[in-house]
Amino acid sequence: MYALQPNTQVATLLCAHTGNDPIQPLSQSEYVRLVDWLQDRGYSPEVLLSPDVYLLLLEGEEQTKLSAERVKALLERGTQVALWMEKWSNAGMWIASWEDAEYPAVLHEKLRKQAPVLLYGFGNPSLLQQGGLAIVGSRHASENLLESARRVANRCAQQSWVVISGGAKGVDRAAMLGALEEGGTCVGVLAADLARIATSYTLRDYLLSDKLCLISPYHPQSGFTAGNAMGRNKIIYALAEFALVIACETGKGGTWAGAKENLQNRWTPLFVMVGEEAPEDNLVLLGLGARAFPTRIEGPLRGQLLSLMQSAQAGQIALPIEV
Amino acid sequence: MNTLYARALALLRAGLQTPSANFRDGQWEAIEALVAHKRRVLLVQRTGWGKSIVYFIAARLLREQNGNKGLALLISPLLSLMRNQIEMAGRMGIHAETIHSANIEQWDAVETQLLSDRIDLLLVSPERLANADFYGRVLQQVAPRILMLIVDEAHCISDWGHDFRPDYRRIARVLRLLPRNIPVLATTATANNRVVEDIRQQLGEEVHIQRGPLARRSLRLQNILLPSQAERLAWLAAHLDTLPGSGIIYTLTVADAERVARWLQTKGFDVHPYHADLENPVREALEHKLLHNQVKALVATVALGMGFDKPDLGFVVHFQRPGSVVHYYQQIGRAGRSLENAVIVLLGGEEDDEVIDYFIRTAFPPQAHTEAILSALRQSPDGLSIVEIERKVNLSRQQIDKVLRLLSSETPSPVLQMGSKYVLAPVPYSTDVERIHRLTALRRAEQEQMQQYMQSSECLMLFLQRALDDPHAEPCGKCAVCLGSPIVSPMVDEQTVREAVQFLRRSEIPLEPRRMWPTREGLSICRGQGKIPESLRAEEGRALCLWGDAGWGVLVKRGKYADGFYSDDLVDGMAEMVRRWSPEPAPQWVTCVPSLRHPHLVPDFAQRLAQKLGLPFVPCIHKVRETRPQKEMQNSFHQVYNLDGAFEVRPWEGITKPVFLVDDVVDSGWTLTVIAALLRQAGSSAVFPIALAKQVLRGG
Repeated sequence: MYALQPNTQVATLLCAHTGNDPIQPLSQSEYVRLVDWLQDRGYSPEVLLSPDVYLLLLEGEEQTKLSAERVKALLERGTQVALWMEKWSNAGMWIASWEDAEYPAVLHEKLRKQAPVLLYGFGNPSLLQQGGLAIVGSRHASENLLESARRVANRCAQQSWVVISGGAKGVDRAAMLGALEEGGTCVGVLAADLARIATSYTLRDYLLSDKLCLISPYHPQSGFTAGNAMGRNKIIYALAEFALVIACETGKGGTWAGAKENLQNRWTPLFVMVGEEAPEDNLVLLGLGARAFPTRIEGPLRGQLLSLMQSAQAGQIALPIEV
Repeated sequence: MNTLYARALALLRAGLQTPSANFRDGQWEAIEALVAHKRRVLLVQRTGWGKSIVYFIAARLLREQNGNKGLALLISPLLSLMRNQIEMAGRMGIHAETIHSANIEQWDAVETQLLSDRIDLLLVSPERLANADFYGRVLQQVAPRILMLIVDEAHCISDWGHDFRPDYRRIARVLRLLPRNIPVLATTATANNRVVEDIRQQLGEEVHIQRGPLARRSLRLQNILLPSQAERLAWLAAHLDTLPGSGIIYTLTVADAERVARWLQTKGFDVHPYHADLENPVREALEHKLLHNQVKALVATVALGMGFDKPDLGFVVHFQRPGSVVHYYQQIGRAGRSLENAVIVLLGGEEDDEVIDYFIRTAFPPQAHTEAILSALRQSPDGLSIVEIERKVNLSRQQIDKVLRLLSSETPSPVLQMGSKYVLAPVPYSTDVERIHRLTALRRAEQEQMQQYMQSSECLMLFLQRALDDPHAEPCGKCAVCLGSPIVSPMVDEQTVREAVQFLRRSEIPLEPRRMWPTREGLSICRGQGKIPESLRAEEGRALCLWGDAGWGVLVKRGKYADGFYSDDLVDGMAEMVRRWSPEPAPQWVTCVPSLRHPHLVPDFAQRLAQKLGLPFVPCIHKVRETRPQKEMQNSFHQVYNLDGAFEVRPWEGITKPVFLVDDVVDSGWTLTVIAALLRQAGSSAVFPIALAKQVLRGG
């Protein structure tokens, strides 16, 4: 039977959106402030489950800038959160928070305070710990580009290398299915609709056979927003050993913004698709510190990318930039 | 802490209207654990001990602690709190409300009060809690403010419980996810060690367990073995008057409740049948009569049970032996709560095991239903609503609901409701065969324990308490075994037994004609129609007896299994039944259901019956294909499917006239339905099914 660690329970009580939340759950930064304050006092989040918590919260009000009333009310919504969580966990969903073993350590290392407080997931969580190649690109790519994404994903699958994708339409979807249909493994980091996608006809069997892990920092029925899409991009990059941009448009759209953010934060080495079929805009990323993805894959792709990295000149390594 | 105690005591005294009242052993300890320490508490205390006092006062104190905000949620299979409980709550200043499927018209009012935070305690049924509509409309609004969860009849959580309910599995999962800052109170009156251990695991290691003595000093127990129903009917007629006050006579099946009540009525007793087939208002009226001693007894199935509280119930007699000690103890525990003495008699009979065996066999829904629904969902990319499932799968709405409820209760569940649609969840699923075997074995062991109890040569109360792992078990000194003499005479007189046999022999059972095919497709006879058209339907028929009963039932059983021949007594009995009944239009000929396995048994009987009735016997129905025995078929669909194309009617010149269609034992009734349709198709104007016995084994 599904159960949560006390620390995860606290994170869920404070931060989870359940679809009807009369009291606004804490934002990422609010939660960070609260947990930091507790940590300074030698407490872990689970202390908030003790009976006399209100006095502690009052004490911290000034520094955390969080109303003790609000936090207390959130902590008391245990029945509602348990009822809500029961529905989803009984359909196979799990929740991981910072303190859980399933929570990928790379997210802490690379994203630090920006590492999402909660990850909602379906499928095999061990795939999150295996690195992999992120394949990203726009929703509206040409058939040729989709084919490129699929081909690269196929190769990853043949070489038992995890593909990490955003799970959106277009390039994301082509990469995901390219890996899965070839018998490979894939992590989908979703910006919206986790529950609907996890129960979809096409993906259910892959989840069941442990080939796929779908995660999202947003609650299982949240809708799409541009902000959410950007918020989840960092998880894609942070999980991956390398990232490949199939296609982007300079200065426009989520792919561009995500790639730029990655270069600035140096979460993971970035490659871009070049060659006749690739859009010219891809070349702009080269100027910003990305590398050209090899036009021919020879032997293990991971090794090939690694040696490209090592042979790279110091000058080619991306520096924080302003565009 | 003193102020908390003082406040609790004031509430208790206000509630009981007794200024000097004090808490019973354990009540305050439980309240304190819940309110002061937000702990989880399991109370195993007999009914009437005052568990509701604990949760009323704890609910009130938690709310007062919280600035008069928030409420306690009570999950209980009872439809409502008992009137006396509500009155007590009112005196404590506690506002309790109920939401269940039968009071939808009150939901709006309750909702308004919930939203304005005026309710201290909300009672919901486990079924409501699992209902998505209720969750969205009501529960979601108040769930963030629930200060305490109370789980009534908590033994239902346990797989090892006698009364396991699928919706309680969900409650167990919610408890596992519930953070420890929400206090939980689980209560039950009947739990043996294994059940207590199971509940403890669900509630967590920290749970505070309180277990009181179960014995009820007022009960005087006696067991009487009277194999035939006629003897037991005669016993009731002879001794009902000597039993104190008003009471309950429990039977295992609805048909038995009806019969026993009818027999006692013919003997001049003021008794009524009570079972789940009766409308709610009727049931309430009957309960009211019993409560006010306006009847001698209700003859009831388990439907008269949880939540019925009559402190002065004078006796409980079991016409048949229940399936487990826990069931039995719960039922007899309703007697003598406020009395010095109450008489408890267990009558055991020859049919007990057959009935219990049947309940055990049919406890789980057919796997075919589950597989049909899962496979339909697997083939539907966008999921299916209930109506869409109905179209895809040949199952009734009820059957579909039952399967979906069962599947939703699985951990994890293979189905997920999203909006109005059901989709498959990405979790591995297969029917838990091991669990079904385990539970079936448990039911067998419980049955065996009751068999031993029937024969017990040690104190009867001691036996029951030990079976329930009561640490306070001791000999009662007042049961028939302790006394060494009967409390009520076990004697029956020959004359009354003969009358009972006559009564049973005149208690034929109507055979209601089927109106719907179980399926539209796959059967040639129904031609894509769900409804059986008037022109193909049978008339209402009759069965001479209930299978195995003490009237004709014994002779039918012997004829079928021992002699391979139905005696002339049965022919006479059937002919007499036909004369009493004289259906219109009067049948002009007799035919019968053919069998390849026993080619002579039924035709031979039907021929002799026809002779007796002075009608021609025309065996015009032929079996053209061997079928599997109908009783092996799992559901209506398979039962009819099994019969599809198995029979052929050979027309003869008199076929248009009304006819008696004879069979020996009727189970589902589909054989008679299908053959009647074939006869009607071949031109018969009216078909009256008549059978020797009907299998009726329905509890509830």
